[in-house]
Amino acid sequence: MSSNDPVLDTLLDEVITGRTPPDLSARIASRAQGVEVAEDEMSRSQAMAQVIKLHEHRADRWLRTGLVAAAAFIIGVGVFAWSPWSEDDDGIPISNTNLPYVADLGPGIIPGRAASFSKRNDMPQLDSGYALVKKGAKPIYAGGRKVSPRSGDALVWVGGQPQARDIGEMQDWVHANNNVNLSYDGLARLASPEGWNRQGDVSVCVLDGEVDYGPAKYTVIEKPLFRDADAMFQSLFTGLDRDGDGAINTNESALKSFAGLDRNGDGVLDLNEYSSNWTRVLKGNLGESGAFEFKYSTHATMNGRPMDGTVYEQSGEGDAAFDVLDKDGDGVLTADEAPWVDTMFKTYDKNCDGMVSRDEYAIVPGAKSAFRSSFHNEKRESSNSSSSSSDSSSSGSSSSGDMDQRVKEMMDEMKKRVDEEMGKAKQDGGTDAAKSSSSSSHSSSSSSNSSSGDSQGPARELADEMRQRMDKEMKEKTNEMKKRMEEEMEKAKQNGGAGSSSSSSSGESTGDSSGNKKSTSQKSSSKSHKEFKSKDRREIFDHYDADGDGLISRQEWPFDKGFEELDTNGDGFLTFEEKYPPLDIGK
Amino acid sequence: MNLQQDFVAMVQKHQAGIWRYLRSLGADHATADDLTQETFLAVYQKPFERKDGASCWAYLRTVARNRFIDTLRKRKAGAGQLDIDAVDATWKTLAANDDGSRAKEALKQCMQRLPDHARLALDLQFRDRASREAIAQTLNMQEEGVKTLMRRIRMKLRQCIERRLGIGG
Repeated sequence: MSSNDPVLDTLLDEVITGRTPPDLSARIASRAQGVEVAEDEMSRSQAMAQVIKLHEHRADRWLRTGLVAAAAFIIGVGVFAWSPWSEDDDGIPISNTNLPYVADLGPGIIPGRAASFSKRNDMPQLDSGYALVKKGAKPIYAGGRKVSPRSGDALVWVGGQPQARDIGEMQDWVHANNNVNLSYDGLARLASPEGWNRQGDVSVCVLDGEVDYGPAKYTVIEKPLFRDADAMFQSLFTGLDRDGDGAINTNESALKSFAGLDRNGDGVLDLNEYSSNWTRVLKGNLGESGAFEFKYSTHATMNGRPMDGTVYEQSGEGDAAFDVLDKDGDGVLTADEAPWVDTMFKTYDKNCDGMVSRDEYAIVPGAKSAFRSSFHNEKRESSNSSSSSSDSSSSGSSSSGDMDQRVKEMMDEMKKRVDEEMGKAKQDGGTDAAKSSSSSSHSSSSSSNSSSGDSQGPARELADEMRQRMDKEMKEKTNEMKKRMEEEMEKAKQNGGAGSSSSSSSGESTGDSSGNKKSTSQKSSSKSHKEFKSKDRREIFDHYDADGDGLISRQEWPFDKGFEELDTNGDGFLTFEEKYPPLDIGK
Repeated sequence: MNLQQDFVAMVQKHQAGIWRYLRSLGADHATADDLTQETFLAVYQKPFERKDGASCWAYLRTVARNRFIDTLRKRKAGAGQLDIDAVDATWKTLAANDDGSRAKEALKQCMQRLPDHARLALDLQFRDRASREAIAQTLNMQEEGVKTLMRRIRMKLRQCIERRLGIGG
């Protein structure tokens, strides 16, 4: 039906269908900026080519050729030199920073209503509100991290987890903005809280494809979000219906993009009127079967591993915990600053530089709860320490974080090992040694008890202390063994006769110390091995003998000291006999 | 304000009017979107002098009209029976100093006074894109009667709008 009043028809179409003029200011500013950036960074001829490129999809080939030629001609005669938009009155190139925020953004970054930006590292940073970052756009900052659209579009919201009202505002804006081609999947992700990935104060909704946020990577995965389309529209509708009267009236802001959809003319939009509008503008179909499955959600991964839930505390509690621990305020944690992290330090120290940075601290998957409990312990203890520093050990023993548990386990294991060594020393060293080992066992036991009770003490220091004690015990034991062996040898030489057979075998054993000691000692001490629980010794020896070659090398020796004393032949390896000299000889 | 701030203010003030103007010339929604942007980009890239509201609005309409005609040429499509000058003249009448928002508000008020069958006829045509035959069936009228009805509705609305805008005495 033709009309002779196209102006009236235009207005009628707008009123009845609600297709109001879109807000194109951001897009125009973005495209204008693209031209201006090109002028700054390239020659004017390239800038003209950029302008032509903007029109490329519409211009015919001959027209493009003509424009290029025209551009070259214009540049040749220098007509552009007097353009008031290229330079200001002082002859200084106009910076886009003079424009409102919309002009500071690059192409593909569309600010939402009331979005505000600042500059960070010469890049726009979204400070509040929301913005759409489209595929191919340059990254922007949000919450101190970069949002980098890799192969898709994303909505970025600054303000924590978007509530239903926020989602209502954004879906209304998306609908009104012709730059956004939203699919059913994308709308489902926008409408569902599960479609939003929150990190600190920033939430990101991947409308399509993949988007990076800081070290996290958001990809789309299959996950049911809504039962069906009706459920999704109901959710969106509820978000808009602020007064909960079951209809969207003119006071509810989202209506401004739906005006004219009121088919029954009752002045409000019901659910059917609302959803029918969405089905008309959404990209794609509901699916072949007619029963579309809203099964796509976003999935956050960090370093290739799935992230723990949708939140890791970047600017909230996690940051506060980091600040408490970072006593010298240098921005990194060392083992001294976080002793309870000691046993898991390598887990956090991703780049193995011996320090845990804030990022490394924040991104460890699955460790959030451990950190959080430890953080609370740290906070509680730091507050207690000011009032009663003498009770630090008791306050430490009261902490029950995962880190403490790990330290306790380690201490128990070391204590067990010390007890084993002491038990052997008792059996090997006779009465005196038994006394010595008993006292040392007692002391180390009490030491370990006190240490394990003091879970705040650095585990490394405790381990070193215990090693030193063990080394000392071993050294004393070895010296005593040597001394006794020499005495036995002297006796054997002096006795001779009937005792020569045993002494010769003993002499062979000791005289051939640089040879195959293992077989010799097995012959000479087969009886003593049974007597002194050689099985336990062998297990301990084999425990140290990591490569199983029957010898303990310097590298396999777990202690700093004691190796040289035991390595009697100085060949750099400990045999079983060197480790456990046959003290039974002569008994 | 410097020139760039003027430009941004100009975009925000006139973009809706340009978009409506292009729609009234016969551009579809997508074309109206594109040509609105190109109109302002063309102004941005060329020497631009500060103009007052009415002359700026007229200048932008001229740029938009030329862009639209250029697009028709590229598509090798004619303007049909559309008299672009007549459309321009109507815009000067209804929206000489604004982007058409006042006329739109006046139209809304005028539509509220339409009888039900007239409102239904408009809904069928504009919302449902129904053919004249379908409208006739729905309203239980002859097709010729629908044609006459629509002409009278338009005339009535136009007079109502002009009266509300204080045009034509």
